[in-house]
Amino acid sequence: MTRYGMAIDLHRCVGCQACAAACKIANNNPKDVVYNVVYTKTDYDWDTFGTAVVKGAVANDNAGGTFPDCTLLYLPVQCQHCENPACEEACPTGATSKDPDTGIVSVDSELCIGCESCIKACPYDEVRTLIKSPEYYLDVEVGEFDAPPHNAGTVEKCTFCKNLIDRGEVPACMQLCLARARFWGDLDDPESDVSQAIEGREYVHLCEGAGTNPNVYYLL
Amino acid sequence: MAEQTKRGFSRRSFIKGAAALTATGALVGCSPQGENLAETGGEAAVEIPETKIYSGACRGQCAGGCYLNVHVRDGQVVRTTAGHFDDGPEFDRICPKGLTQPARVYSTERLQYPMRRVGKRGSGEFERISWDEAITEITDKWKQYTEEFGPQSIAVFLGSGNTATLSGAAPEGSIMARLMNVMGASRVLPDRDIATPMANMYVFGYANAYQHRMSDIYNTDHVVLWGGETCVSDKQRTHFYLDVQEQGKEFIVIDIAYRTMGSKADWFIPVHPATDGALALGIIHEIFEQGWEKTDFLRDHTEAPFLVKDDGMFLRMSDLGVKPTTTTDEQGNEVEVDPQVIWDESTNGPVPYSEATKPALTGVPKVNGIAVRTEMDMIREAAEPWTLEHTTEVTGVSAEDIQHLAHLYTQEGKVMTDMKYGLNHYNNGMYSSKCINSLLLISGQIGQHGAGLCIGESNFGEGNVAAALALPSTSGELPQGVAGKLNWTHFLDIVKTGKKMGEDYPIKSFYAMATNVVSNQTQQNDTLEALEAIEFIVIQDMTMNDTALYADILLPACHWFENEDLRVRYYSNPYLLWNEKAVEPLYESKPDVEIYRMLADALGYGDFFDFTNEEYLEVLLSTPYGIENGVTLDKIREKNYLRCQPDPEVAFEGGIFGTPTTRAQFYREDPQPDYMMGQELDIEKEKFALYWEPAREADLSNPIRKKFPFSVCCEHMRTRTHTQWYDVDYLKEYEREPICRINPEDAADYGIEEGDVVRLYNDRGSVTLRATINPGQQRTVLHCPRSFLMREHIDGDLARTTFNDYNQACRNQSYFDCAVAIEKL
Repeated sequence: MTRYGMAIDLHRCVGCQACAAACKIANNNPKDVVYNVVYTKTDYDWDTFGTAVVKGAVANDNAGGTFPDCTLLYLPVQCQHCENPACEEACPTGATSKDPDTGIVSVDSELCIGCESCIKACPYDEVRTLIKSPEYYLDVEVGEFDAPPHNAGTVEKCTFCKNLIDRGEVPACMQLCLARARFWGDLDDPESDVSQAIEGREYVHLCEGAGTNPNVYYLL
Repeated sequence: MAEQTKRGFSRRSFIKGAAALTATGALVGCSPQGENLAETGGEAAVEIPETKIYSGACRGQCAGGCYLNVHVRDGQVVRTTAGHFDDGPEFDRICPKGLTQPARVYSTERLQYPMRRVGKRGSGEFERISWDEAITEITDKWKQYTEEFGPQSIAVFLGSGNTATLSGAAPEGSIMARLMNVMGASRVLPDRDIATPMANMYVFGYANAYQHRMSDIYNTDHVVLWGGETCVSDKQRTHFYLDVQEQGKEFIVIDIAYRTMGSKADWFIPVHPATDGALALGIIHEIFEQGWEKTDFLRDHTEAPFLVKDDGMFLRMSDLGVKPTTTTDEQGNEVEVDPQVIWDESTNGPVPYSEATKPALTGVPKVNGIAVRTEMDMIREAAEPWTLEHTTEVTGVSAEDIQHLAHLYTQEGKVMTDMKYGLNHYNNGMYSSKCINSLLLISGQIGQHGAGLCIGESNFGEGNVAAALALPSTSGELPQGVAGKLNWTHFLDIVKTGKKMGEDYPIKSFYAMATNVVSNQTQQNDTLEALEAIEFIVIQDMTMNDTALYADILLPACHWFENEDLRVRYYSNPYLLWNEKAVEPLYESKPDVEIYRMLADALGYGDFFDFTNEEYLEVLLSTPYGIENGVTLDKIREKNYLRCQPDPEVAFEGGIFGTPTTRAQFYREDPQPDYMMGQELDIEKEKFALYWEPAREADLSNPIRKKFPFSVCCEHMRTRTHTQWYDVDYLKEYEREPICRINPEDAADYGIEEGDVVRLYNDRGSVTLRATINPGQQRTVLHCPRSFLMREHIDGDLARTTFNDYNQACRNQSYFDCAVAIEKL
């Protein structure tokens, strides 16, 4: 059995936004659909994420504190592909489910009725989008041929790029990181990149108290 | 449930198509999923389109120049990913700019066909014309100007926005550069990024600090990043610093604001803007106080023992009655040899510098009755005023931090210093950089594994430009060469007055390609005034940027992926990259190189270009390095990339410098300014590497700051290279609009809150934008990204606030040296 997960080294992450841009293009995401947000963060409260231009902030990259004793870090947040996904339980149609073979939590757009129950249940704010009327930046379709459908009236989120994984590739956010802050693989395989990255490192999970047991590890 | 999950994905699909890597035939991406076919019981196969991957590169002249895989499906660019080098993962990064290239290809801002201006300049009113009309109109005018006013009346600005060899302009030997030489046109110099390289040239003899192999950083004990936000402006190099930290070594950042790189540092040292040279002098002072200077290095590898007479000239053997000899230099010219004198302590007498066994650093008596001082005496004298107190007062750096830095540079092992262009962008940039270079010499932290200037890796350079430009025409005629090189700021004056240094110099036409001078040169009002005054403007570009709006004729260049070319020069990416043609040029756009050739033909210069593009590239590749290492197009195309190997791997290895004496220089008896436009010149300032003066406006003590209390660092953006990528909406999810980062206490003083609209202004102009409160700013220092177009600002333009005057000896655009007042609107 495979349990896909990700580790993000918060010391290595320099907020370059490569993972966010890679995600957006590979999935041919419409304007208002963002699976992966790199927040600017000025504290170490792991129940909150910080600010981001894509979420309405005036600017990214502003520090906290009092000059020169400042704090500045970046927190990339996407679906945490939890062991106990709150969204799955909340979904009335069975659209949201966790694949027992891979650990990937997904939303089936054919079953999704856009009721937003998953959005309300999920402790990780805004990792999902209810697509209203998808508008695109470009007239041409970009990304992978089997990018998600972006149907109006459905909810979408990070798929761990299952389409890419299925053909032996890695999630879009993985291969392109400027500082190499992300690690990906099977958490059940001790030899995987992600397991090796976590080994011996101090880490946190986001919203630990929610009891979702996420599969994204943040290395400190 | 599992069955339902599968429906949303491709598991059932028999992946019939396969992505082919065109260069090598290797299969990547979609592999046939035979097992899935079995698993799903042989359901009907879904045919999916083939994806081809071509070799590409970002060619916008950030420092990265990254290698890209260009994914093409159904004849369209659908995705870009990082190209990988099989000889190591050091430089196979990509950033949001590289990743959003499809949006540049399919940008609505792209110029689609040649156009002629019909409205007012800047209004954006154009009419569509044919290529024939465009080329005929341009070349008819140019022929007429050449006849009436001489070819120098046509001014050519080679932009840096396309670093391809054939189509681009940054390499001095591009096809357009050749045409400019054939025409005898004037060349307008951009005058950017000059000060720090000039300081390196001054002190170390040539700017090959780039020689230092980046991975040598793993041999150091400390890295000092001095004035740079590497993760924004030099992305390929960022990971080296994080790697070094993971090795348990110390990473130190000296910066005017607490930014991302500072947040990663083990030790962050805040400094007042543009006072870094003073900080270096303070550290040098402290090193002398403690007796920590590296005497052996100074004695054996620098000109510190050289003797300077009261008249400021070196003591030479001719002063001691030894007749100069002659020798032949590399160019075959006969040159006089009159060596400088060193006082040899082992014989207690004067000897030519190359013969001294124990050069004296101080205490040299009169020689033949001539009073002399060593350069070392002068260095100590220059450092004398820079006590801890004085240095702290000027720089804002605490005495403890200065002492700590002095200790670090001399007592704690090896130090690698990254000083790139952070200090370059001030009017005093050359002086600051020279002082820091002097610190490296006094502490002996250069020329060894793990110690030196770490600013990027040596690469192929510009190629054999001399040979490319000297190729004769089919009738044996040689290009006449450019009529003159006009410094940007001088050019503006020449346009206005029609005179250059008192002589008539009419400028009738301005041609620029792959550049946006309106946004990217300082003091925008002057730029616009010049563009208004020029009779005939031709702009060749990919998009309708600010400068394109001022064109009389617009020539649409195609995107980088729409023609093949060679990416040669790059500063932080030591690979030659072959760029394949991935898709057809869109609309009526053409490869730049084809446009150059059309212009050449119509001007009657076709016989100067009677070679294939490949033949021309082979000439450019025929440098001594290229010949020695068998660098040919075929070799590059084997993998589409070829690494350039620095040899040796360490810049100035063993303390052997590029100066005539092979010793590093602190003093020049006859320094020359790098431009001349009739400026007043106090040459004494330029003679000594430890001379320092404050910046023009960024300095806190400047009286102008009473009227204009803030300085603005017009910084680079994460998501743009200069103004390129302005048309990519994806990137506005990260940097949406022009902003002004301001310290919270400063903001409170003006009643400014997050997102408020503010106006920055001075006597040159103003800009209206949104304020954002950033505790990472020190008081009275603003950071504003400088890569927005005029139309993106609420009003005005950031480039209207900066000045375009040059340092007296250094032609340099000072993007960070700008004082403004602020008001809340």
